[in-house]
Amino acid sequence: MNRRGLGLLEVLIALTLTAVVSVLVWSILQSAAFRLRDRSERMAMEHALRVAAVALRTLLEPLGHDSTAGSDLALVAPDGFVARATRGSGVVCAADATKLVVRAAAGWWNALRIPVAGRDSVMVGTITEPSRWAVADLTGAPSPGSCPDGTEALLVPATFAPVDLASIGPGSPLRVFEPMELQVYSSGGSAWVGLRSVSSGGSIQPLAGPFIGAAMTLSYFSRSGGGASLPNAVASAEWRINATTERMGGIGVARMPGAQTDSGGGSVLLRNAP
Amino acid sequence: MNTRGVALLMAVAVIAALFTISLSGYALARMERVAGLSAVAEVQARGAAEAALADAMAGWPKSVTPLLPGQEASLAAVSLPGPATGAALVRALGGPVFSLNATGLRLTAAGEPLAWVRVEVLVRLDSAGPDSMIRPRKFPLGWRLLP
Repeated sequence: MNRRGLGLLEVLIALTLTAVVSVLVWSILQSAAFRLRDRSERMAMEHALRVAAVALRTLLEPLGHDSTAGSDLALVAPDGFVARATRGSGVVCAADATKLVVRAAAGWWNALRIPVAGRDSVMVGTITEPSRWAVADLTGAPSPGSCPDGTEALLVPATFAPVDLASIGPGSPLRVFEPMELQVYSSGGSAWVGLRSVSSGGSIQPLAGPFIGAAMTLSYFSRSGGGASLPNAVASAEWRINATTERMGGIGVARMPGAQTDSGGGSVLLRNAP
Repeated sequence: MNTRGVALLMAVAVIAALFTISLSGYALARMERVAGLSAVAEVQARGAAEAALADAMAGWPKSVTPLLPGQEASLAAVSLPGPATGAALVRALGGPVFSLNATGLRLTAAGEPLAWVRVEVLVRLDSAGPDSMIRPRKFPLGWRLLP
């Protein structure tokens, strides 16, 4: 076995080769980690854009205006709006001065949650002509009951004016709704889109973000295509959203040079607009 | 004297790091693709549901109309490229107002459901004309997406 050891030249060559290989490996690792981090942050940003767009479409699309029930849109502004958000729907099988009897058998009652007095209101469609919706506040907690035909029902306490009550009856469609505000707000130096229950007075909860600049800009249009400033004239809406990556900077080899940005837009036709 | 060196260990460590990063990148790319595909599939399912609804809104024979609360009758079925299918039915609510329900389904090539959308329109039914066809009339604020 050769036990002479390494000469100076051999050591220098070995160190040089090691250094070259190390630099190559480091640059490959840094590039891969950077791309991974970049991809991950971009995905989060695109997700925020998608969530905001889906929320806007879901909230705005079913809205409209009725001569009796008024506008589903209560307030419109470039950075948000207040609208009736459906929380449940069903069909009335009987009604009296103090309550609605709503079918609750399978396939009849759809609700995101149990209606809450003070927070939710009800809209009931009339069975007499002309077709319209009567609105009333929920006056108590719903309780189990039965329809005149003996099927399962939900007793929904609500008081309607006599003229409305005369137009409500078996087969009247019912909607439970909650006034919700979608609004841009600032938190942690970034802009976010959040939702807030107007009737319960809760604080705004984050929905999507972070966004930058004007964050979200909404434009409202009437049926004729001109700008609409009043809620009951709105027939369609357009939005533009500017998003940014949330975790700017990063650590170690995944350090980012700066925030990434992207923007998106869309429009929706209010399906129940007159 | 230990003459084995650390080259193998270093190579294994570097390859493991690169493999982990590549795998994470692949998973992220796949997630993004699935999210994008899901969004497109929902649009296609919505298109199928709305096509079936539009077909049903054109009218149907009077004899088909259900009478008792909860009774349903199929009105329309459509197939769109994708493949996506749409079906509409009318449901009696127990009064003069009826519900037109349409379901849109986007399927994979293997026939598995990829996206599903339900749309409802409340209607009143105008009297049958000379051709015995029922003409539905949209109830105000009657359109909505079902949860």
